[in-house]
Amino acid sequence: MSSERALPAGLLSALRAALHAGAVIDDRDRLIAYEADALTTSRGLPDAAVFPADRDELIRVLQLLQEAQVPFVPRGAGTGLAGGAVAEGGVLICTARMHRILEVDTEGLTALVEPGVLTDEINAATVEHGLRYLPDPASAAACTIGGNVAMNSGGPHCLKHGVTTDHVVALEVILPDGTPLEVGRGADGGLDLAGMFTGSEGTLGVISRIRVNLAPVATDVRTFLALFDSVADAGLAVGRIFEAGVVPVALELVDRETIAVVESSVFAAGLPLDTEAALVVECEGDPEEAEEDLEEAEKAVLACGAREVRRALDEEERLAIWQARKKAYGALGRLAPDVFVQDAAVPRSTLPDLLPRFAEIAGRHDLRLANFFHAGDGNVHPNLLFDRRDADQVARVQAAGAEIMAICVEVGGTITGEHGVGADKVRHMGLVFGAEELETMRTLRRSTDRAGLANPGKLLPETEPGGTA
Amino acid sequence: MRILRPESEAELVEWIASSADRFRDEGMPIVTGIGVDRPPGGLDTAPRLSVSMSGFSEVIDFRPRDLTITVGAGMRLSTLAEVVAEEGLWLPLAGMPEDRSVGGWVASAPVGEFDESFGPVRRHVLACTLLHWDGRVTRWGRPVMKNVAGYEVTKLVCGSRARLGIVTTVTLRLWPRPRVLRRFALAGEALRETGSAFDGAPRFEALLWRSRVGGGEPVTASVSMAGGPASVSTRAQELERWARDFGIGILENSPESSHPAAGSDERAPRSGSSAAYRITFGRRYLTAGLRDLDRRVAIDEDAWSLEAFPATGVVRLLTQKQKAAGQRQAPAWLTTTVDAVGRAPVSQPSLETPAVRIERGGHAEHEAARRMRSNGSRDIERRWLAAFAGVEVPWQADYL
Repeated sequence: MSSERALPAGLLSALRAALHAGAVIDDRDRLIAYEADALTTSRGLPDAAVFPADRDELIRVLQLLQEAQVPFVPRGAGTGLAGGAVAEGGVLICTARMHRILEVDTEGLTALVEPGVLTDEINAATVEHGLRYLPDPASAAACTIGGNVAMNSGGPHCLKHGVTTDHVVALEVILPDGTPLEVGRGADGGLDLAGMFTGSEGTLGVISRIRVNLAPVATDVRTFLALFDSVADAGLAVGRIFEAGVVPVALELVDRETIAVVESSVFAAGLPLDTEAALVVECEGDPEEAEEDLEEAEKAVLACGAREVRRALDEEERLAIWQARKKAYGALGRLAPDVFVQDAAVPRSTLPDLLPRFAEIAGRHDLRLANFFHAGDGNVHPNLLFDRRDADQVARVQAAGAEIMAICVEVGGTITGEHGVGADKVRHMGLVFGAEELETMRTLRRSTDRAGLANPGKLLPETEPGGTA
Repeated sequence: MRILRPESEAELVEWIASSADRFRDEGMPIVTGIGVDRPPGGLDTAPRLSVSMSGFSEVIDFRPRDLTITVGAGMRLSTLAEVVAEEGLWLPLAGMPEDRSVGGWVASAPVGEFDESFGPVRRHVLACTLLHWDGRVTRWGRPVMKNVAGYEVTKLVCGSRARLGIVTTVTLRLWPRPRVLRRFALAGEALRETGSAFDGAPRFEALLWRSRVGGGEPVTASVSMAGGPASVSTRAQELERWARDFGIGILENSPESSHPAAGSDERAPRSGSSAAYRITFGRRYLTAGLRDLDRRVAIDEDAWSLEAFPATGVVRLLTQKQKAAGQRQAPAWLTTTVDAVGRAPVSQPSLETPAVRIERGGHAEHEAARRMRSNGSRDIERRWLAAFAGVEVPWQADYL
């Protein structure tokens, strides 16, 4: 198979000569490891994978690929959930070995890092200075900051503090032709180029250095879990907390199905199995502030019919509450071999109506549904459980997924809140963009990548006669 | 100057779409909101065409429970603040000129006191409608808190002046009104020593530092706190104690009082005869940069005031007199400071250098700023602007 689309003669040896030893692999046995990212249903095999160690090697790689006109796909840790870091032929550029923290600036409260640094490693390097990097993707222990920037990742604590783009000060990007480019947020009177490169999913270039904002660590964090007999009540409580004038740092929802699976796993947090929905609410600040915010939130959830509020009394209990939320995805593996993760974001007030409709759609297609998501942001993850070896199940999952996405868009929502478009949602881009917007974005993409070498097939639907855009 | 006041999007679109020749002959129009129908004087080349967005000032879709609102870009910020306040909601707009239009606010993306705690303009713009200079109309973003579908064009729109086109509608992220919002005015020379850092002061949500207003007045600062009653009360007491220890005077103001922005002070120079320089330092450079500027401002008779937004590293310098007509350069000493600070030794290539952006009477003057940017950035901007505008847009294209 790969012989049909073999790389141009001499490219592999040129790459090997340009990079440090062992930085190029092209044997199928090893490439298989890069066949998919965390969205296991989207697969593809590159012709080669390269592991540049620094920006100079990265520049050289892009120059060689440009000369040879070979497409490439940038990849961080491969934890993405949209199939964005999968290459069907061409060269996979893995930035994992570019993993130096170049500087922690304790005066200006920023850090300069290479893209392969793990998100949690930034925190590990800054905590001794009383500082932290705020966005916290659920995979922070495994994902890279480069991947976060490419996808503009979110996380449970992005509700108050903002997502990745809100914490990126400046970037260096290597354009598809190998030209390095430093971009900022336009404070100099120019355009907010960093804002556009963030979330561009590797289609405009490869990120080589990132300056992120740091913030003081919170002096106090307080958390409770509220149990509800109805998902709709939990949805209402989300709105009521904001109406009380409180913006928690995190506000998450887990449903009955999720509770059941977590409770039967090693992460059991002692939640009653007859709970229809639970909210995780976290507030932080100085102790006084965290306490009074959390008390207001407690009043709000009780007013919406919460049957019980369980306050974490110490750090151990707090982490146990978060285990129930953060390990839910992994625990789903007990129920089915595959999970179809959705990522729509909707106007928050539509949650009480939408949640029962998700259940209805899943039921109609005879599928199991587990909800655990960022309720405060309206960023839902209705997860459909299935077995990809069963073609009938796959077809039902796709049909149900499309219906769920359509009703989310219908109420004003978007097709992806934090996971990105990747290869997975390209076909849905027409739900949220018209032909004029799609063409404008294609023009923009072509302006730095005439040949279409950068992550082809991702993010934007191609124009084809009678195409699906 | 000819002013166009379209009443509908269709009218505006038709005019723009049929005006390519006119723009080539007479230059790009300037876009204005309510309250600023004409660009201020003092421009070296006043535009001959002006598009007033005063006909686009309606609430289009207000969803209080979703914390979002969509409005016409010509709406005044003060009207917007009133509309959302009726539902107990809030936008951190302290210090913004009240007659500024929503579109002008988005298009110029000014620095705000609450930027560090609630986010700058770019965090608040969820969606917008853009009328391209070739007559195309596109819509970007959705009325939701998180959205990563496609390129983040709303980010590009923020601060782009009118270079991508005319923003006609804007969807904004709103906040629940903080349960308690308090604002303090501080005054005293000791603020010059504590500088921008406010070491030892309690946490606050917003800080604006000002010095040399009108020449030689005491240094002042405006501090805002937002949150629950107990926390704000404790922090306010700590602030008072901190101020006393340094011999700094402290008064509480109404939280809504917009402190006089430099340009709105009665004695302040009129916009047509002044220039505002916005200097963006990487935050680590701020203390040194501000100290240097403060010293130089003291001996420049044209300087009117120096303002700093310490959390964001932005400094605004307002000069009193316009320099000789046609002189577009920043004062020599300003460039000296910026260059000196920019050369401060850092261990690694920094991806963060000071930059100067010059505004004259609210009108962007880009020449100096362009010199500060790399050729590469300018090249990408040129390509992306071409993708959006559809026509060659000069740097003067502005949105007041």
